[in-house]
Amino acid sequence: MKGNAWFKGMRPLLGREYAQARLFVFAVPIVHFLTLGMTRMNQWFWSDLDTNLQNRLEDHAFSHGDLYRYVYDSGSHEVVGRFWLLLAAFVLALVQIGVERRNGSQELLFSMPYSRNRIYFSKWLLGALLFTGSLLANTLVDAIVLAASPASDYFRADYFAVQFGYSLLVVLAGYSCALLVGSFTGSVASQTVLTWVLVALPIVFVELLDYSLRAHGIYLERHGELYDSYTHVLWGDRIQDWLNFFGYASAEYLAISWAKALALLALLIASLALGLLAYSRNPTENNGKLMVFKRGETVLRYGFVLCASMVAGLLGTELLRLSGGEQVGYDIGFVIGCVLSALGIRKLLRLRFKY
Amino acid sequence: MLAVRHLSKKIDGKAVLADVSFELGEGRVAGLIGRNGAGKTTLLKVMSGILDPDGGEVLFEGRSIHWEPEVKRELVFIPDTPEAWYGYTGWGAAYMFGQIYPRFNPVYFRDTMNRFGLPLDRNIRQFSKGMRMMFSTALGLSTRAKLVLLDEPTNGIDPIAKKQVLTLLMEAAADGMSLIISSHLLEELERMTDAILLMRSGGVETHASEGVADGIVTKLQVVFAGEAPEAWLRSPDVRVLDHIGRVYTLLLNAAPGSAAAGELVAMQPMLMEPLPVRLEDLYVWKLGGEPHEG
Repeated sequence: MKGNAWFKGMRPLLGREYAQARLFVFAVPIVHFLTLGMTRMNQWFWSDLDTNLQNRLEDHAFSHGDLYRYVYDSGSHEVVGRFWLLLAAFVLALVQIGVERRNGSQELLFSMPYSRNRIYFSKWLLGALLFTGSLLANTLVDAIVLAASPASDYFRADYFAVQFGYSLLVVLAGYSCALLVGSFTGSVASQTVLTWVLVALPIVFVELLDYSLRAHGIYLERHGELYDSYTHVLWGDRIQDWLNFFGYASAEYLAISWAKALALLALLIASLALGLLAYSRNPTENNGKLMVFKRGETVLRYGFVLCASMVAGLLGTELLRLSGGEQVGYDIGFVIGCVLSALGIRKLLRLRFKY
Repeated sequence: MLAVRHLSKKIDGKAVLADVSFELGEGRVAGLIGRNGAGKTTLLKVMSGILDPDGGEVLFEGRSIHWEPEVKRELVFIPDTPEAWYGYTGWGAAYMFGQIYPRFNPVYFRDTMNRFGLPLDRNIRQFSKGMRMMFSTALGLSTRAKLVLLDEPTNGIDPIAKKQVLTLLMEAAADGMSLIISSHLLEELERMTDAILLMRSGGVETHASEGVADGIVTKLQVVFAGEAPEAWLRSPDVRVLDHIGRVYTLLLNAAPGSAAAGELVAMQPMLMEPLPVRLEDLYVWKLGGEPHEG
């Protein structure tokens, strides 16, 4: 009874979310179809097929890997579909949180008789339903296309089930992260920039750190004694592998594993929980700023100064090729970068952005 | 019905609200006044749950609006810019509010929109600034909530529409709805409210609208016999409202302990005539020396 009332209470919130995301509700499944079902139809129905297709498939599909490579294109259509859905998730999160901060919608919602957790959950739920629906419908269309194609003998239901489940985890994890970033940034601009910065950070930061250490003669993991035999630090590669979201999103069929799925599930749960927490404590008076939380400002300030200084150090090494070696150029660049970025971020953190 | 207790709120390091406390009974109407930037909108936003207070609490019928937001089914905030409704028609907004506020009255909403001459099926974005405010007020009052908070409800609307909005508010008050109206229309507020909440230096002073300045300030028209006593006129217990020739309109501190009235009598002015003290006089007396606080 109580649960029924709870869901009934969600209706107006979902209705409002639908009203502002109406375009997505129609566009997302259509674009998704163009990347998946349509592409598959193009492959099997509208392209010139080899007259000996059946023989070719039989020749190639003798092993597990070849079956998926030749019949399912290794799952590349699904990968493209995932990226389109992730792009839609990013824009939807901007509309649902960033845009709302500056057009009075957030104030309207917060003045209503709903907890902020419920408001945030209604946003997430709308997106989750949209992406789940799009994935389900388009996976079904894709399966039907393959079942009706000349390669129908190689129809594998488990392939579609795995692709649906994994793609759902990728998209919902990405969407939850995009909403999470929106919950602690104060404007459309900062939400946009920070979302992409956080996506790229694991790769870029490891590279910058590795370069910075090397400029000071520190090689964290060498292979052999000589400088020439230095290869990428293994720990860095591992961090990049684990934290690179695009690595998960671009996994083709045979690269999908339980470990990846569980990592995505953990990311989904963590980002949803953190998003709920941040949104429930949202200091509305800071809307328009880069970050709405003081602690967020502190993290951004130090993170920005550190990364910008390392980039400046890298530039210093290239521009100031001094007799003292790489380290002097790096250190000069680092110090200059540190000062300039500290001043720059100080100014940026004081601004209020219209968008 | 509404109890605001020891509210405090800092924005960008500045104390906008400092130990704000007051109460409002059922069916009562209060005017919220103060200089620009005094914190009126901030107070209304904290009272409606948009902003979280740094300290203190807002209780509606004994329950915290921040911890139990469901109590806000009987509390509606009408902001000074209804930008959030862009993309909605009047009917669309009414449909949504009808799902949220249990006593929302669509017939009242339709009648009020018709009374204001506002189309129900046109996008709110296409309304003029004044039309938007009228729509927003009509929508808020249609909830028939026990308490309605209005931020500058006559902002940007023409004199005829202003009169219509004020009439609507008075009708709502007569129907038993409690209102807190933030406005600079002091004359109208004095007429239609039971209490005045005067915001000053982050705090709120509560005054009864009737006899708003009783025991605080007196207003006199004075003609001095000789040269006007400049030093006395500049004293903190005296404020010159107007000065034409030898005729001065003055506000004098009437608080117990003030010697201003006695000093004036001792000067034996040619004319000393008491004038009725209006809300505007209290406003000038309390806030006239303060700069804008924004």
